[in-house]
Amino acid sequence: MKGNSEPIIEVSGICKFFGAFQALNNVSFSVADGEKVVIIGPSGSGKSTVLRSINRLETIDRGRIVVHGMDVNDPETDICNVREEVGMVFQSFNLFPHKTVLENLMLAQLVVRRRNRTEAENVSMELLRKVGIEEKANSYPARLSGGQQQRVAIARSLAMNPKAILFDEPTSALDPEMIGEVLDVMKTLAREGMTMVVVTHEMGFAREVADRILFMDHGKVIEEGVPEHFFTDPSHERTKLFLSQIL
Amino acid sequence: MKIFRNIAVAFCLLACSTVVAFAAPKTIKVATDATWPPMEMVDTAKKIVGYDIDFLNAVAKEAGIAVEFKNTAWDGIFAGLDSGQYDAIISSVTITDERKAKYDFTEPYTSIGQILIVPKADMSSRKIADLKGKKIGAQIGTTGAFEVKKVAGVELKTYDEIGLAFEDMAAGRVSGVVCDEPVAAHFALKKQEYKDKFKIVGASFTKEAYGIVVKKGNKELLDILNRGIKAVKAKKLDARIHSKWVK
Amino acid sequence: MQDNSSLQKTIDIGEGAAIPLKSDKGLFTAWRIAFFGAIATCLYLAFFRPDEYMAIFRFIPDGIIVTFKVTVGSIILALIVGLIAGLGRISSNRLINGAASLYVEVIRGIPLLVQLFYIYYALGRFVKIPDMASAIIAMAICYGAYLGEVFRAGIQSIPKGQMEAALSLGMSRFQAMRHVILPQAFKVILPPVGNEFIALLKDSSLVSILAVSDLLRRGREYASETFSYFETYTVIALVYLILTLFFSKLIGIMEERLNEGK
Repeated sequence: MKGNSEPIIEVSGICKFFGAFQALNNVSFSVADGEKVVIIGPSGSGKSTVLRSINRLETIDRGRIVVHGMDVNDPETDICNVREEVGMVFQSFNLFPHKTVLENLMLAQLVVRRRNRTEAENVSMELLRKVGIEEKANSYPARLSGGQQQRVAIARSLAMNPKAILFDEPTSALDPEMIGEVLDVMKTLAREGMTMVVVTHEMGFAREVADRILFMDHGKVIEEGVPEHFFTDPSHERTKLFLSQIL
Repeated sequence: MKIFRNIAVAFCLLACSTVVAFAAPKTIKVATDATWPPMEMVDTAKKIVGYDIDFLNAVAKEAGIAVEFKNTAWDGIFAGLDSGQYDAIISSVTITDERKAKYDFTEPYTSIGQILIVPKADMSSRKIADLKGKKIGAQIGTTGAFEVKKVAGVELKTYDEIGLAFEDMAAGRVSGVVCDEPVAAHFALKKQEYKDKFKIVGASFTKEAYGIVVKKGNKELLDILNRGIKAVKAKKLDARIHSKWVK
Repeated sequence: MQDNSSLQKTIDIGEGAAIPLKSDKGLFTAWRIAFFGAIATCLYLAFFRPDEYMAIFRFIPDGIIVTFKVTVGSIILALIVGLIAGLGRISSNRLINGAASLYVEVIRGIPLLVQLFYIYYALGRFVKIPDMASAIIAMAICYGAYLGEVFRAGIQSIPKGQMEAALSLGMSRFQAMRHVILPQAFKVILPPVGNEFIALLKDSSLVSILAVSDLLRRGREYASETFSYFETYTVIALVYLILTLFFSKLIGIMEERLNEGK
């Protein structure tokens, strides 16, 4: 395990029901500072629900999630404080279509972080340079390719200086030729020591970047381990089956 | 084709009704705006009653005709006579030169004057001119409204029904109401909810006579009505009707 | 999570005057014929039939101003009421949601004319509100219910991901509404709001029953004094027509601008 041992995200025994359907069944794991955790599994296995529970886009029915010392589901907790510290990147980018790329990056800095315009603009431009699309700063999202939009979304998330970023299938909505550019940005972040929780089907990325891999099926964590072990010698039958289908 | 048939049917009905009209004793249709108590109003049994109604019924009896009353909004009551929806109007219509130019009037059947009503709290106002800079209510198109309009510096507010003007004075939106003396007496002195709120001030300041209105040139009907009025007056029936409704 | 509204065909017939379509670009559009025809008729009446008509044109201008004030005042207030009602209708708080839904259902079930009478005369017994203000309040309460539904539909038409993205950046629900959802919803709701505005302009003639001296009431006062009903209502109809056509064009232009600005 890389990074120091203090967990930034601690998920313990969470359960979630959609009506009679149990989406999450006693899921527990923790993410240490600087750690990269990749969650894989078949669709409908509950990966995205776990991720969305961490910043309470989904509420949980049982268990506890603590982020940076804050109990996410405690009514006393101001959930905005949690979300400021944990960025999120969505499958469908969710850029604000009525704002330019630069404004997309600046908005939350201005209204949440209360930075002044100049500072927010400087931060934004630097991040756009980092993800390689500074020349599109004044374009509207509709003018950008999917890959560019997702890079903007990552930059928007970084602009808040989060302690960790959650990636919810960030490349699933992209054309194949654009997946690489987004994964490259993510790999750079990983190298720089960003704490990341990534739900993805990109096994190459998982293998290269992950410190730890969680395999989920039917709302449960079936297997957990370092990539070398996970990909070469999985201990669980279902993991083997999944890997044989996907690789 | 259908439309022709409808027209044909309509013509037949019209022809039949004309025949019936010749056969039966002559019935005239008379419009009245039954919102002008005690001259004309609708009682709790939804019947049109009042001074004018009793008076015209007496006239009709003397003249040997039948009367059918039609409750019509004052605003537009003359337009209905123009378009032939009824044969005459009895609705506290003051005989004025402007009206005489467009319509024919019977002999006057009673005389009244306009009078001012103000809230009891108003200690100083005696006449319209005392309410300079304030609003005075009157029914649209009545001699009361014309009188208010003549006085410079007073704002006229016109109502579809005189009762609404009193209601608005109760709500404090107008500072006075001008109307026919008998109507004023009814609202300010008889009506329970207004008795404690309003008072009549000064004496009536116009000399007006009511007449029954017929279409210009309808001499036949005019003669019948005048004959009836003469007979009613000769028998002093009008005095009895007056004491029943006004005093 | 899939929005299936795109699968349903909707027949969209506004109750207001038709907002001119962008495609109506010919020299002789229905709008132009109606608008310039109405203006030409007014000029003709004023200058070639001055005996009957000049006095009417002199009598009604303050009524036009009152109609304008009532319409603009009502739509502004109705937008505020509508926004609150619309937000209430999508609120997850059961109490707020229930109150907003009740308001919308009650108001939509009562004719505007009855509401006007009610708010003006019935409430006048308990609270002292000046006449034009109560007319505006009554109109706004009624139209607020309709606009509330427009706002609700507009807000719900914005993909759920937008709210989630805003929240995940640490914005409060209020901030997300204000900076992310409403600016986008505004574009969606502008056409129906424009239609409501035109409908409101026409319905403002109902305030004439409240003894508010609007265009219609001025006309009725003139007619009841001069007995020239035909001439007066001809002018009143023409003036309303010019007003509604003018404003529907204005709204049409605003919409086009907004779509180009993107």
